[in-house]
Amino acid sequence: MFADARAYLRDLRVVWRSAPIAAAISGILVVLQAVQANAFTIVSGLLVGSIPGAIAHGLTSSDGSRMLILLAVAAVVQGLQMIVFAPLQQFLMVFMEQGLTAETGRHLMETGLGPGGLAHLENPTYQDRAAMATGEGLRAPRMTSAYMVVMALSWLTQIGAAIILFRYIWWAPLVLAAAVYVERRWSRADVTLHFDQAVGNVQDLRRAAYYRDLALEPSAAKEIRAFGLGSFLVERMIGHSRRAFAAVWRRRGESSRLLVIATLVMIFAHLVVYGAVAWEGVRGLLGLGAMAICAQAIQGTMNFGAMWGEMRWRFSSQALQASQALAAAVPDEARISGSLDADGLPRRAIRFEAVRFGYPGATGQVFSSLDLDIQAGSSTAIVGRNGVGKTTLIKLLARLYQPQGGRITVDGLDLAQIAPAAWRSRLAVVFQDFVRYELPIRDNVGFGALGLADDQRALETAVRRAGAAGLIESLPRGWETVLSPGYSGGVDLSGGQWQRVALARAMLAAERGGVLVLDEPTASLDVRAEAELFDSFLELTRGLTTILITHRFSSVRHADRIVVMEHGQVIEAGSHDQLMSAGGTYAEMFRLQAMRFQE
Amino acid sequence: MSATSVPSRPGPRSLIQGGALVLRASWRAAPWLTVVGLVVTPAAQVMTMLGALWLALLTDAVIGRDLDQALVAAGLMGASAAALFVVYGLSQRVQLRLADLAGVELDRMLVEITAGIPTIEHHERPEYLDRLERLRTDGGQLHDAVNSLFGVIISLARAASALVLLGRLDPLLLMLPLLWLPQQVAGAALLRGLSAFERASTEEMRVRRHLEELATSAEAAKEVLVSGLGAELLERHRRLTAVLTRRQAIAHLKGTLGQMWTGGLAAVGYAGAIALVAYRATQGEATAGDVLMAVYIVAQIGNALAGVVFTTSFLLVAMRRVADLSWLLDYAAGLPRTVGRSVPERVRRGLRLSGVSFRYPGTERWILRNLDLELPAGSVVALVGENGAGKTSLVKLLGRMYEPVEGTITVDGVDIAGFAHEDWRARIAAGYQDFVRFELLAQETVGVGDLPRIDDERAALVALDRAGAAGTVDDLPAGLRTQLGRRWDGIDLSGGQWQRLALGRALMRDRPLLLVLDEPTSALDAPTEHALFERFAGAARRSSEDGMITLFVSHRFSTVRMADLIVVLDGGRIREVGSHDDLLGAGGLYAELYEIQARAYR
Repeated sequence: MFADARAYLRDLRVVWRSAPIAAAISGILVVLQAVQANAFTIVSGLLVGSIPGAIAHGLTSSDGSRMLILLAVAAVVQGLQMIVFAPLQQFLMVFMEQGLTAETGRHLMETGLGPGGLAHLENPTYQDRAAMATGEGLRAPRMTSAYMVVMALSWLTQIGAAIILFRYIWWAPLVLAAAVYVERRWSRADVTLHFDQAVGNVQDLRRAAYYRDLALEPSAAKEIRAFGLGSFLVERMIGHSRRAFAAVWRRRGESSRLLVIATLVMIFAHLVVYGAVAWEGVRGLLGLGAMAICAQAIQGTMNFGAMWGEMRWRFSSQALQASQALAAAVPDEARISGSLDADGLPRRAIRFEAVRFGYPGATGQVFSSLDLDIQAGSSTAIVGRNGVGKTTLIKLLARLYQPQGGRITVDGLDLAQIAPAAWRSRLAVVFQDFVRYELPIRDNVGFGALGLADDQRALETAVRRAGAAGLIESLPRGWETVLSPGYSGGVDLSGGQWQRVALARAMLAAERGGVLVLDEPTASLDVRAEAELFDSFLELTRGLTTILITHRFSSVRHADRIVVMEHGQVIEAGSHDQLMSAGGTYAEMFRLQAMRFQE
Repeated sequence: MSATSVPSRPGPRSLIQGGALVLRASWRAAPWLTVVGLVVTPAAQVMTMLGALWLALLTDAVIGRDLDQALVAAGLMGASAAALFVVYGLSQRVQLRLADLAGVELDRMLVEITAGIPTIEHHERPEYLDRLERLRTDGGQLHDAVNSLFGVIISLARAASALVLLGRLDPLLLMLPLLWLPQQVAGAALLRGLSAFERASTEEMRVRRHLEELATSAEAAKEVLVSGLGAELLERHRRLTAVLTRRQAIAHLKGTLGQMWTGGLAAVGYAGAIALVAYRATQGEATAGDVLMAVYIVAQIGNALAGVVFTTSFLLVAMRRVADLSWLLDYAAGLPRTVGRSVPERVRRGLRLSGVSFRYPGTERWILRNLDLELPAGSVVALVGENGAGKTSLVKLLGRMYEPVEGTITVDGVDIAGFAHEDWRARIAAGYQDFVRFELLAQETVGVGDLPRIDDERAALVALDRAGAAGTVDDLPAGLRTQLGRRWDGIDLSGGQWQRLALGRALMRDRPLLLVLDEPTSALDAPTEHALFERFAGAARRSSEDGMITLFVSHRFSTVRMADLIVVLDGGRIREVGSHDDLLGAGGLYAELYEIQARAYR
């Protein structure tokens, strides 16, 4: 019970924070509504009490006019609820619910990006909570504030009814409270169990949802059809759902004994209290009006709205709780700090010194002791097989992760001392899995460097250098075209077109100087486009420190220096000609590719 | 394929439609439980209203100083309260179980319908995608639809039993529903307003969600962090929420005003009802107990109405999703079905495209124009061309994800449009560039390529071997039984590893008529691609005795050159067709592109 009260107060604080005005008005309304319900009990009871007088002395007598006045008051009291309170309360829901959605979203974004690193985002616990915070998989509407209003209203109405009853039969509220207590115990054991995530069926529910989502995601539509997976997905989904529910049903069956006890207590409590009302009424200890008030107040103490609201609140509130619990799932290694300025870096070199790193939760290390030099102002190509750690190296360089041993230095400064935001503003990165922002192409390019996003000339230059100027001309709304088919006037780009957009974004960022990182920048470009890009490689990278990551040997020749990696180590380094004449791994892999082009 | 006309305005009609759909699902999932629910739930309401009778009995006994009658009334009230408790609890339990069962049933309908539409043309239709998106992200609410439905039944039962009791006091009170009716109409209007708001705001809601995802997925967040976009994205999120809140409030305000004045009408009705009974009591035509009865009923109805206002808004949320589902069902039902002839066992002569033209639904630009092409049985065909030449679209046409707008595709002279989609697809194998990362057991991730053999380890190993990916499985801690995907605390693979498994999946089927591979090796490194291709070319040739046609798309000319036939697409038209040597000799587009790539290795 106390845990529930604490949880309620905690949610209340969030509602209050996210929509203070609406929450305040709603709170006042709840009190007024509870007062209204009990006022109606009293007024209508008095009304009934006035009837024998009105019958005896006629409508024109003082007893008669008392009845008429009470009638009018009852009408006004009831009218207030139906005309003002209830519709207004519902209207306030808009603000509280939108407020909560905004608050959850804000929290999600701040916790996601705030720590500065990525470690938490790859943590399944964090992702579970994040998914739940957005209401994914909730099996009821997410209307936490509405359920909370229903609960508060029910409680206050019950308390009001108990106070009224106390005035006439002091011990009756105590007896009824016992009944209410047992009822709550039962409903908690039985009904709310339905929404209890702790029943051990979470895995099955999540798997059911996974199969369901697979069927609904447009991205899987082709393979589902090609392989005829429809009935397979249905079967799996239903199988997991059934198993999840079976666990709940079994548990629910266990509460039957409690139901019998609750029913007996209920009968006993009501027999005693109603019996007392009847007894005192007939004996004349309670007047007719008082009796009518008592009878209605007894009804008022039994309010199933609380049961209904509580059940849903517990469930719906899980989204809120998950969002509030996000911060606790952020491990220390995700928090990236540093205070030094990064202006003009790097001037001399970036050095990886005996860097050790493994992904959190993964077995095995990516680097046990990596040493690597990158000269400022020149281009370095890093080649190696899939999974050798090329992309990890970039993540470390961008401080998305911290080395677990050794250090990375920039011009001799430990990267860990440099303010992450300052250092990142010196980076322009095209990730292999670059982001496809579902926003206008203006943002898709401008997001490379927010400071330059309003500079049309800078945007045009970046787009031209990335070979995407023609693309913008071909778009129906030019720069304002949304790059996602799900929006009116939006378009879907091909993989190659997307790649150019991502490149343009990096080109804009590179306007500020610093380090340009290209991670497989031509993976979806066609032959001609790739050749064009590398033909202009020198121009694109002039004045920048460039890191090119690829497994395509044809494209690394343009780099000043080539680094070959294997097993998390640098095994060869030098220019193309040097490496070819050295006859090592690079030469072997290059010849393997080249051989296929020989007649 | 024409759009089926379905009402997109969820008004009373689609509420009834939606209710019927939910009831049907509930009935199909658990007929007996549905019946019990339909009986027990209204019973709880009738119980509540019966309390009014006992109360009247008690009142009159008190006035008449009749202790026996008073105690009987008190006993009835106590019993009635307990019975109400049991019936209410029972109906909750039935409702919850039905909600589970019917929710799964509605999910089943949803999945069957979305996976069952034979083509993917509907993915170009925003009105379809919007609904699908809402059902995907908000679809858990289908599980609440049964509760909503019972919410309506409760309201109706309450109103009906109230009416019967009031009618006993004075037949004039049977006219009360005339004053309730406007309130119901106002409720429906509110629903319409909110649905209109939801429809008009789909894009804003989607952007807002997208912004949240950018900060939540590790893939996107790394770039967002490097670009320093955090504050900007938060600000956009805040602005969108402000716009949405204002818009929803305006949509809601109209409904609220409607509820206020119709609530006033209903209040007048209730006050009038009490007044009428009270007046009759002063005339000696009714007792004080009757007045209390009227008061009690009005209080119950009034409280219920406050509840109904709430329940309607909950109901509306779930019912809006049901309306989306109902729309999808109608849409799918309106699609033409091919009940086809049987697909041949093997290709004897070849596959032929005659005058095939294609453009995406709702667009003007031709993606493929007048393709005439003969793919001989047993051949390995490479499809090359620059970005946007139409390669992927042609691949989709062969899998019948879309149908050609003009022209035909025939197998040994038989139009493939005459086969049922699932029959045709059962006889082809396909691997796509944008493959799915099925987070299942490694065995299943490969095995779904040939469902009947999903658990057949030998088949999976053979397929992986064909794909040159046997080593990928050896690297997994539990081999084929390894759970893939971080969300299950399983193993996460690199892009290249996922692609290898996807290729294995494409090669699961034995002896298909047609194997289509759209850039199957783009994420693989040079040695892997090399090894794969050696193996693959050999396997393709071995199968060619069965007449299997292999068609693959690649940008790598080192791979392309090994094909029997190379088709060069340019701007949606066939530019050149021939063998590597032919095309190189011809000195056209192919020779030019080949030269560009070869140059890099000299």
